[in-house]
Amino acid sequence: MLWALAAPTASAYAPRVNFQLQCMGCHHPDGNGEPGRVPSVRGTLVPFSLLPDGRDFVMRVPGVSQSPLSDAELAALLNWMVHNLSDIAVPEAFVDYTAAEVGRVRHQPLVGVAAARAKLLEQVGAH
Amino acid sequence: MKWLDRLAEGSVRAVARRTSRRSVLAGLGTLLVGAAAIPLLPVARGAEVKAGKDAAKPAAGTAGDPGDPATCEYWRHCAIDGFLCSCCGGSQTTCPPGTEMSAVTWIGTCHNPADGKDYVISYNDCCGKSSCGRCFCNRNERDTPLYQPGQSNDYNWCSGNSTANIPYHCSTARIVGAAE
Repeated sequence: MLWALAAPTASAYAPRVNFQLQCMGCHHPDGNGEPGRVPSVRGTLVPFSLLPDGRDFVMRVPGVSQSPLSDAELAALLNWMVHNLSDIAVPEAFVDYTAAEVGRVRHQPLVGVAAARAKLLEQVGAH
Repeated sequence: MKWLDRLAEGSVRAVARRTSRRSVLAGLGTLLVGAAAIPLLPVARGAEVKAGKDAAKPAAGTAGDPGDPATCEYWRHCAIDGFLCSCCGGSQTTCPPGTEMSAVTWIGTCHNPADGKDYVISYNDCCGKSSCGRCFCNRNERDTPLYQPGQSNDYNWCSGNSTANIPYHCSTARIVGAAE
């Protein structure tokens, strides 16, 4: 907890600007990514966010777990992405990401990102 | 040929009688300064632009976007690491002919002295030709070490793009929006 308090945080920007600064360079302005190199979030973020394993994955991918943003900023950013960069309508069952949840999960290293993603894709039947 | 010698001697002596040494020096001085000032005239600068040196330099030097995009000091270059496309046949927003803009890019924020606001700047690389080699600029605000790749500008961002060719040529500095 002390580490979290002492950690440097980026300036307090709106989630949209944090997306531009921290994610857009690789995931592109619309979240579509680069085929074969940077995965798209448009068809996956919402279905992943409805599954416990999927939420776990989203909060542990390299861009999130290594982000200079605080847990609260990351939670706000993920919620913004769910509502603004998804081709799939956000169902009522969607639960907002919270700072506490992000803080609990993000620091567990995710080994084998591609394999974990492939397994999830199978689970949600997306591609 | 004696007549030629005499003619030359006579005309030189005539000039020497009519003019003082100081007036010759003054004339030469005027000529020197005048010649040096010719490139400062608007006509000469217009010719350079036509020659394509900075042909696509849209808002450069305007009140809202102050400075010269062909210099490292230009405000949008605060986080750049590379050759300025403004010096390489492109501009701060466009790639030189024969190169392609990489969509995967390094992003930073810079302070615009004109309105005192911070802006999100996208340093899209232009790819497909060997390094431009002109106007290298390395300012690196908010740059992180290579082991934090998402925020490191030391990468060759051309390699992250599936459509652009790999060689890096130069970097642009495009405004994404206000950082608020």
